[in-house]
Amino acid sequence: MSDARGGRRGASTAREALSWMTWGDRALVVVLIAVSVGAILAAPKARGGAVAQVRVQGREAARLSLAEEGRATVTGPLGETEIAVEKGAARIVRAPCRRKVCIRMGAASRTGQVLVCVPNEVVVEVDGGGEEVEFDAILR
Amino acid sequence: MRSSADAVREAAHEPRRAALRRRTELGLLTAASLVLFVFESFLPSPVPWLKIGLANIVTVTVLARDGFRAALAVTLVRVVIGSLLLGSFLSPAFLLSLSGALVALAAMAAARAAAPRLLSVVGVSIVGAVGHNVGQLAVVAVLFLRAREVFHLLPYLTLSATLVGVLTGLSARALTTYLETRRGGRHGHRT
Repeated sequence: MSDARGGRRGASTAREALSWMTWGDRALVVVLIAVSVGAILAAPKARGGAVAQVRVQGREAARLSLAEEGRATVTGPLGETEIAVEKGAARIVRAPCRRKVCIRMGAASRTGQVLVCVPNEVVVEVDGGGEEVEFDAILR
Repeated sequence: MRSSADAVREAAHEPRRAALRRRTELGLLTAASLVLFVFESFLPSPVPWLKIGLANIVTVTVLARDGFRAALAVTLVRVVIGSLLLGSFLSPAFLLSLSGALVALAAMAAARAAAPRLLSVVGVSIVGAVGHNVGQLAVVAVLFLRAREVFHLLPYLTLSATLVGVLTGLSARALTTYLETRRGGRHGHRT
């Protein structure tokens, strides 16, 4: 067998390759697909978070409902940080830190999303919402 | 040309030659899995969670050919040296890689032990892919983030793992075939 390297040579090779699978394999595939699709359909849909909790140095300093527009200002060791809620998302709009990373972090709207200003020790976390969470995850 | 004494001597060396050849092949296969692993890390992907697990092709093949301990050795070497090559040794990514690989290997070994005739390499490969995801999510859930919500990703990951498992399984089948026929005589030795 000279070229057994698994290159794609067309649909007939694919079909003959799939015939190598045992019925146990096929059953496994079917079961996994069925269970996964079932789990996806059965899970409650993701809901946006309900509340943005602002913590300064670990202690809660303000709570903003994401359902309505609002602003809050908290004071940390460096100065005042202002958080604004518009269109169901919280953003840091004003901060005394040098690099303004927190402002550039953008909007937090789903449960579990956080905005952080490390120099001023401010954390804005969205909580109280639905059960599904959206993650940025890099898995290798 | 060969006297019977020569033949006897050669026969006595058979097992050692075979063992040496085995070890050499394992070394080469480990290197191959490393190449696959590093190569895969450079592949661009629109979806960050879609991991193809090319190195698993080698793991599955070694598990089938040489057993659990050999597969474990190959896996550990691949994870450690791979992370050194990628610059992620002892980082969170390393922990994820290690946990995924170990859970995958355990799952594959268990699957082979429990139902040896039921699943071909392809099925085992699928089990490995799913196990890899489970292992990684478990580490993420326990160590990095709030527990349990991470597992909401599992159904999507399982769907892609199933597809990927089929592909890597078929590749492993091709690799096994290649290894078997190559052994048959192109280089003139009986081992």
